[in-house]
Amino acid sequence: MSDLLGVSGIMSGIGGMNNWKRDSDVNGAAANEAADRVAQDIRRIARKLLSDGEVDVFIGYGQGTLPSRVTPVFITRPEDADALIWDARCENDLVVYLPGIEGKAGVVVKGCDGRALARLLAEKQVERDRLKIVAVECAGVIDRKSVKRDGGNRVHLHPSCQVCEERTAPVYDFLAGGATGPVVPGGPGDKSGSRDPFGEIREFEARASEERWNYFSQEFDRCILCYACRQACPLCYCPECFADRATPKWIGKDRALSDKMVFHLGRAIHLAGRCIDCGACVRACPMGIDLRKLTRKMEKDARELFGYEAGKAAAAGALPLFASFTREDPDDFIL
Amino acid sequence: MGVAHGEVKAEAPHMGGINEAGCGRGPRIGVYVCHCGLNIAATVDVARVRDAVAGLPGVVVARDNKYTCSEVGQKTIADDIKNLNLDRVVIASCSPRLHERTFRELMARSGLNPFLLEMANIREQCSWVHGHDREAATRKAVALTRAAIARAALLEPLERNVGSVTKSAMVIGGGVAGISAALYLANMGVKTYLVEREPSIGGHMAMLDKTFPTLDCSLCILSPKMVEVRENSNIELLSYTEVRKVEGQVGSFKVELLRKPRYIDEAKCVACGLCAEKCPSKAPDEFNRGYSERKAIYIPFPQAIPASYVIDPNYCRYFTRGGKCRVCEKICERGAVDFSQREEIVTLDVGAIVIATGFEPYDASRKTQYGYGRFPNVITSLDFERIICADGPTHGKLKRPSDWEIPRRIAFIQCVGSRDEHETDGAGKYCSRVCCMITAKQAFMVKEKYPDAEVYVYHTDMRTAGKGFEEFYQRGRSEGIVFVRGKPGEIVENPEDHSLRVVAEDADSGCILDLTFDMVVLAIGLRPPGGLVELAQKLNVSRSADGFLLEGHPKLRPAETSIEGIYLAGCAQFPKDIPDSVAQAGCAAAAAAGVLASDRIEMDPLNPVVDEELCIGCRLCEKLCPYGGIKVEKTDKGFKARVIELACKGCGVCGAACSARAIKMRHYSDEQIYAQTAALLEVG
Amino acid sequence: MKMNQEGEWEPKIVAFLCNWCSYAGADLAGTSRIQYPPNVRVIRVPCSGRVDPLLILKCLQRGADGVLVSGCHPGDCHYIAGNYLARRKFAMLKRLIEYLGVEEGRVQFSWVSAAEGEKFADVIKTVTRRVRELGPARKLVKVREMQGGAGASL
Repeated sequence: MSDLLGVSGIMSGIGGMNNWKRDSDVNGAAANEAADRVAQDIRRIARKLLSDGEVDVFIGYGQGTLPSRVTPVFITRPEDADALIWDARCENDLVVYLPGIEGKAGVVVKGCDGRALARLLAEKQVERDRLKIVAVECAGVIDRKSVKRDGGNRVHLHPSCQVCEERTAPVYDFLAGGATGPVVPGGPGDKSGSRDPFGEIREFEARASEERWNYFSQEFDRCILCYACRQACPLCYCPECFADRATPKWIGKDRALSDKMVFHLGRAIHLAGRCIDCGACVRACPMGIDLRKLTRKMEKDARELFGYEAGKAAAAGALPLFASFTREDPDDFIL
Repeated sequence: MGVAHGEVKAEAPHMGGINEAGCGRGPRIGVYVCHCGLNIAATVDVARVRDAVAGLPGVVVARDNKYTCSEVGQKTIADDIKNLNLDRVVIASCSPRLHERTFRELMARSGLNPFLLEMANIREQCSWVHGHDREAATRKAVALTRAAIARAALLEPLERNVGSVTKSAMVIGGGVAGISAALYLANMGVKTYLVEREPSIGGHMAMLDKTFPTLDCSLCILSPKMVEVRENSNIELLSYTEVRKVEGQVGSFKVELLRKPRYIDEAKCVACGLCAEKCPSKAPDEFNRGYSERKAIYIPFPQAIPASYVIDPNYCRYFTRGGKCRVCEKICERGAVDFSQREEIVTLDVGAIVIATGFEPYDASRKTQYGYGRFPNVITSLDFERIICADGPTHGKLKRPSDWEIPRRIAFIQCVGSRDEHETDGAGKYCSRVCCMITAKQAFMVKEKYPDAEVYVYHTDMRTAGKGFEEFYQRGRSEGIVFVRGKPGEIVENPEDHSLRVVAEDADSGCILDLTFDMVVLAIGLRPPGGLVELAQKLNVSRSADGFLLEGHPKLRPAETSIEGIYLAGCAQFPKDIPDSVAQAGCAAAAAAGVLASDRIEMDPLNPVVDEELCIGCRLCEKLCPYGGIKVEKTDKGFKARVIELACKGCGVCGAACSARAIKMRHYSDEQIYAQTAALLEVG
Repeated sequence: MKMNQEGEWEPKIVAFLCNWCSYAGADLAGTSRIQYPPNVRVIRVPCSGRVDPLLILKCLQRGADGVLVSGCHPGDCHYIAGNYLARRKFAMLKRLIEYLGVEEGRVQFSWVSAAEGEKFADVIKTVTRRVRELGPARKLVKVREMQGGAGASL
């Protein structure tokens, strides 16, 4: 686990997370400065877009009711743009609101959100010409769960941010604050050689089959099939999920471990080549299940087998993984 | 096969009991388990299968029949449908690929929707492959039948899609098979397009000197047919043309052809030959297998149809020297030479297609031990035809290529590229069927011309199955042709006089024969022609392991393919001789004409249906469908997918790819397949 | 759990065969009387591309000891490219379930053409042998459906 820019007691009074800012070292100070600059720029862009009538609504982040939390805000008047903020608490993926919005919208996107948006564009769920995309160069968001686990003493980046390879959206209209923010070591966009984005998956793959089975059995046994993961996912938007189908009943309602596994496997397959590792499912899961163990595996295999990267600049707008093929795709597993 | 099991009641169909209880308002299914004589009953305990399913929910009646497909068997089902008010039928018998059509028609005649039939394959995929294990085979048959019942309960009535019929046909390939198919079709009143990739029709038959066993002159019998093609107003000949793309289905294929430029206006050319006389460029004459030369402007052979010259751009100076020469253009009084011709795309609408693409002779140089291509006096059987033909390079004198002297000692080697385990490309293991008789004919012709010539035939065994074949072979023997059962390992050439030493063991006498010949003829096999793989892919027809095209059924549909509306004639399907090719052409033409005789065509309605409530308009299905069978259109509920029934082929790829699971496959729905798997796994 | 007459376990294997190639290949094995083990039960589908990974998972859940999906060889798909699309899906699915801890060999794939009766029989022999080595399926099997419950870990 990477320590987010040193410690600082900043998480004192967790639950409250009163002082979540990181200010104890140089990197931290620089990051904070950059965040402030980005926030100012977001407000400026939003104000301009709204007053020019370029958008009907601007979706961004605002201060939540709890000091530690931010909340999505929907700004429709230029004068309200001052409510917009940007910092490492801005974990929500605002892209999920776009399909439901009529008219023209502006939206703030981090790297992962931008990848989700690229997929939604490719899947024709959002129309590009009704959209103003305001990208930010993300330095990672805080993982509230691990901070809480540590009693608020250490600040951790969200696990997805620790392996994030592209911190800026692949497509955007504005880059708020410019492209000058420092790369946080071990954070989004850190391309230093030693970092293996799939290191954790590789390590897990190397374990014995039974060990992996036992691990997943324990993890998924905790699942209560509440489908919070699905609700939080920016790419789960089917009008009716396979898990809710009555004919055939893919997922039994008696909460057998087998059904829970079939749900999670089915979800992983549905998201293969689509999941952009925003981490929303993990944040949403009330049981703390290690869902990324499956989704990251799919990401890794899609890349290894087919050179496919969901929502990355190169693949933005590409056909879905399972809707494309090459004649040279791996064939060695076939009898 | 074993003997009938004692319990099998062959007499009078056994009533498995009518089970009215528990059927309620659900489906009313009749189950019929077939003995197929002993084909199933010798291995599967049919009565046990019947009893095991008799009490299942929805099953109103379960019976066993000796032959379900027989008149009696079908009547039993028809009576039950009427008397017991059945609304679904399950038949456990042979493969649905054999009799699904039969039973669907029975259902339709009995007033039931034919798609409410389900078959369990307990013969091809059970009794015939588990002959040694009656218990396991019976259990498997029970499981397959139960699965069929579970699926049948969920089947929905479907109405067939109706398509229109374009009353024309295309024949691909202008050899004797294609010519015959085109003439049969045309004479039945069908507008027929005959497409040939070479500049003239005629194919390999045009290259032969004589035909076995009658020794008719090959071109003398073929050439009138070729002329008939030209004269028949129902035939449009498209020579020097290749198939580029085929879309659509039976009744309405859309074909895209590529016409290669002849650089001669076919309509103006009268084949006077002045141009070739003056043409300064020479090229090897492929019609004479390279043993003579032709000009860059040429007619493939004197009887060619269309009787038009063609310019070979690989040798013509206009093309090789950048626009110079043009002698032919100047000399042609009719102004037929046209260097401005370009490749041209032609589109056709046809209702049926006959494939008659023939074969390619085996490349004998692959057998390096025989030295073809290195030793001038080693020739192939096809080379022999040209060398002995009056029109050939030696004007009908049998001469050997090294010095154009008359050979006195000639050997024939059989099975070159046939019946050969060493051929690694998958083909070559089969018998090419015609080479034995070709050799018998050629050996006979040698003897006819030079009675004192010594002729040896080295063979694996002589295959003479055909009308008059054996008699012809015996005649050759009596003329003094020596038949040696044994295949030479190699041919060694004497570089001084180009004579050829052949050593082989005569398997009949056990003697080693060490002989020297003036010429050796390799009896080469028949291979699938170049481009057949690509053509098969364009037409979507299957090939068999030998590389030729796969027939619809090896016995009962020998001239059909796996695709309705596409038929086979001649060596495209497998090596065969001229009469067999012509016969198959007739068969293919009759089948094609049958389709074209009706005004409408019914197609299985196995298309998907889109649930608009669930469709998210992502357009994935539209992008994936190779047939344009699904389109996304704007509706008042946003963009929604819509199925184009006649274009759709029912593969289900859209349904499998639909991320919102909004596409339901009719007849292969998730529910139906799932119910089937669940039932399969329930049985112990 | 399926037992034979001697009370020994017999694997239950579900095979999804495409109608045009593999199902025809299976029929050819039949007409050629090539013998193979009776453990595989066939479901006919229009194309291997039609086989939904969820169907495979549901088979495992309902107690299949093995699942085979077989389609046309690459380039020979009756529907042009259904098998290429299937190949991608299956490559991912196979890796995923093996990563989960399901034994390698429970779920297998093959290309069998309409002309390959012998190959079909060989594939069935191979798949059956492999599944037999693995023993009865436990993982992903839903307990209440296990008859006898032996080996159930869930």
